Amino acid sequence: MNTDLFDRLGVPERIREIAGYDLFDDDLRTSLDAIAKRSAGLLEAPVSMVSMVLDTSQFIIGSYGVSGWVADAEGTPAEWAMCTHTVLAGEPYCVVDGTQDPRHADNPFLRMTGLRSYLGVPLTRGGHALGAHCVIDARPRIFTDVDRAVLADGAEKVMKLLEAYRIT
Amino acid sequence: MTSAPYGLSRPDLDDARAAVLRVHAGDGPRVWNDLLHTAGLTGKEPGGLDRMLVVMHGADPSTRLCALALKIRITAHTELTATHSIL
Repeated sequence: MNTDLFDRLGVPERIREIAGYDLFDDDLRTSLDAIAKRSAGLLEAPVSMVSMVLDTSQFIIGSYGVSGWVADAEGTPAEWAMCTHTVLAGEPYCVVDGTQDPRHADNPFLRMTGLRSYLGVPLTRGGHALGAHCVIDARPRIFTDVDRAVLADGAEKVMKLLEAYRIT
Repeated sequence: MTSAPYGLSRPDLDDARAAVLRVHAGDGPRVWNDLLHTAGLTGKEPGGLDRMLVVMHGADPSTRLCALALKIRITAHTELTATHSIL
């Protein structure tokens, strides 16, 4: 497996921050799904997710338009997750066309799903990027500053909501 | 680990150990030994991951997240392997 990547993601303090939430609460999940649906609608994207990026996998805690094995697994291997790049960057991350982008052209997730463009903003707490709120589209797409602002607003809603589910 | 479609391998007990050592840093070896003891494993069992994941799920919150991350990889591996076998 990708030891270097997993070591970068598996920083003990960051994992402890994620572990401080009750991420399995049904009401939380329903509310996060609603935020994802809202962002997908506003940005006219077929897929939107709220996820935590763990040490070896992306864990989807809210979603719209996710299906197949990704929905069954509730996530993806971290090395395939576009949100991993958002978390490592610690700032909004954009891909116009993954099939033409050397950073992503070989990504099996994009090849399997047919998705091509991505915009994600980090979910941040305690100086750590814990996860991301994102939209993914099946067409090449240049996201605008307005798009980023809409998604950032969604991410802010996610973090406010999560605070109510803090357990440590 | 075993080979799989798209280069995704099914995690094994060594991957669980690496995850525990990673997220617990200096305390990792003690935590891992406690998990092995609880699971009744030596750490050498080729098929010991399933039993270890049960124990990890009931452990401290960081260890539980490691188990969750490994389960996601197992499900992805299982479903993609099945898809490939059909195709």
